Amino acid sequence: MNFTVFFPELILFLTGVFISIFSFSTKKALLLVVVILIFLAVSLFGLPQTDLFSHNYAWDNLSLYFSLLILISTLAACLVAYHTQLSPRISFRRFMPWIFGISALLIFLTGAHNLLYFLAIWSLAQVLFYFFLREFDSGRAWSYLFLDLISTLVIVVGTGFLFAITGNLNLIDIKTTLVVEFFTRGSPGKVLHLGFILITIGLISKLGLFPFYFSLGGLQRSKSLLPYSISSLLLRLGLLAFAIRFWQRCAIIYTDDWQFILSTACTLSVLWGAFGLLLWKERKEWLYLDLVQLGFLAGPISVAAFTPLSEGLFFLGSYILGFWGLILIYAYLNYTGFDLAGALRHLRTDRLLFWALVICVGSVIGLPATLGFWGRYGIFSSLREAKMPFLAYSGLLASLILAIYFGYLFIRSLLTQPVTITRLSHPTLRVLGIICALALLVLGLFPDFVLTLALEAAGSIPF
Amino acid sequence: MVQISQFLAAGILVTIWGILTLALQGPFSRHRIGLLQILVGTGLLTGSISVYFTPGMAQGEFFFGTVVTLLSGIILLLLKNSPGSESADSAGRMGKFSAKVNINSPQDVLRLLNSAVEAGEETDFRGHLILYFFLVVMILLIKLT
Repeated sequence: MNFTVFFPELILFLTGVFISIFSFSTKKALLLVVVILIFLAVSLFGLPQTDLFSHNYAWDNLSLYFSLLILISTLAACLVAYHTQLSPRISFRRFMPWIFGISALLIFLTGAHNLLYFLAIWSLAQVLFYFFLREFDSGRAWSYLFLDLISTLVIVVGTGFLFAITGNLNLIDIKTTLVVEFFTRGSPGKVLHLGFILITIGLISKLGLFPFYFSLGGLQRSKSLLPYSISSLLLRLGLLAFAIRFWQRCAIIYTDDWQFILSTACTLSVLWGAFGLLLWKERKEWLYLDLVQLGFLAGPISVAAFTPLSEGLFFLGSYILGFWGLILIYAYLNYTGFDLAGALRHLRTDRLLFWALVICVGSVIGLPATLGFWGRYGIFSSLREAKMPFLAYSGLLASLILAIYFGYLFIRSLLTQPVTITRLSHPTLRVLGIICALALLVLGLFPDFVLTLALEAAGSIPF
Repeated sequence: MVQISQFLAAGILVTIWGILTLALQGPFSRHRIGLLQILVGTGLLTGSISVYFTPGMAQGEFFFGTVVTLLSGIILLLLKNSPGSESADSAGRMGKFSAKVNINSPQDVLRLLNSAVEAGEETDFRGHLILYFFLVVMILLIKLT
């Protein structure tokens, strides 16, 4: 058995412990973190594809793609944490073992093919997240953990059903057993459908799709950008990788059970997010914009076919990069939340960063020549080809609303007097924000690299 | 393949963890986490035992019943013991608004909807929990009937 695939997790875990034990200066710790994360990201390409523990764990191109995104998110979170005030109770060095531990768990989760592995790893990651969130607001942390436990219990019930019927917890074995059982004993009845439905409900509530997005509302009111961005752009990645494996490798033989729920949740997410942005945007801009993005992301997954999945994975790259670009710029402005109108007004005197912000927002809403445009274009065309026009047109309508909304903010910012920025964070964040915007532009003009990764990742699922 | 003994072991471990959490001195929130761990552990134990008697058969109803009962127990316990929070305020505001609103125009409907969404999104976990279960039941009704 080839255990080299666990080196990234091991190195991440050990680095976190190493930094917390030895008394480095925070600057040296950051340097070490950047070097290790870049080294790991490069080394991921050299890991051999492998199946371990009787097909309960697999390292394939899907794991590679998600692990890369996890490492990018970890690096961005570390940089934001280094340059901003986290909380009086948590230092940068205390943050390190926590974020590295959670990343190691999530990278492991990207290859998990077993429901029990998922429940165990995800619970550990959530408890770690609870401890981090508690440093900001113990009440919200408890509320978040509680709701996550409830959705975990819903998944446990569904898992119990599947286990009772098939005697398996491995995703591939469950599917194989169900096919054999169907031909030998006939249809398994409603209990099986209930199992798939409950697991689907649990997964979409953990992902935060409509109507289960309410648990995320409290996070975006934290006094830091990090809790919501880690929940939205890091934790969700590991969860999504497992959800894709569950839906496309296990539940694919009974698509009626989950496809309807997932596609309805995606359609309502994009519409609710877009209209919410217009109607209830006060202090919730981030929540609704994130909801729209998540709806776009999960829509193609609900089709259960190769091309839409690859387009969805391609879109995921633009989603992560665009949002981190925005967060880095907000961190530079010392914002604790998402305030696009304020950022546009404040950045009028800093033209380079102003346009970087416009490119990041443009990518998020699908402006041509950015990476986000190709992501959305691919999703629309694949959804239309897959005969899911309602989902495609809902997405189109939401994009139109987002374009009008951000266009209005942009024009208004040009017509108002520029506001001088009084308190800025470290200039590194400014450079990083500009780099993110340039990356979105360059990858939008030459999308082959991300597209190849997404196609290979989707190719890991045997449709 | 994961065997039944692994479920059993997980149940025992979680239950012991819960007991230890309760046994150690700590704030009230730790007390609730301990109770929750014990109930989840008991759920896993009961599930593993019930599944043991029905391997490979479509008789998961017993497991379902047991876990749902436990789940209800947990929810009731937490609802009863949860500390007061801003949810009461938002619910109060919502109630006051609903009492005095007269729906005479589309704007009133919009204002009512606005308040309902705000109250729903800003309530604490008790409100979210009720909303969660309402939605789960709705989805199950749509899909299974």
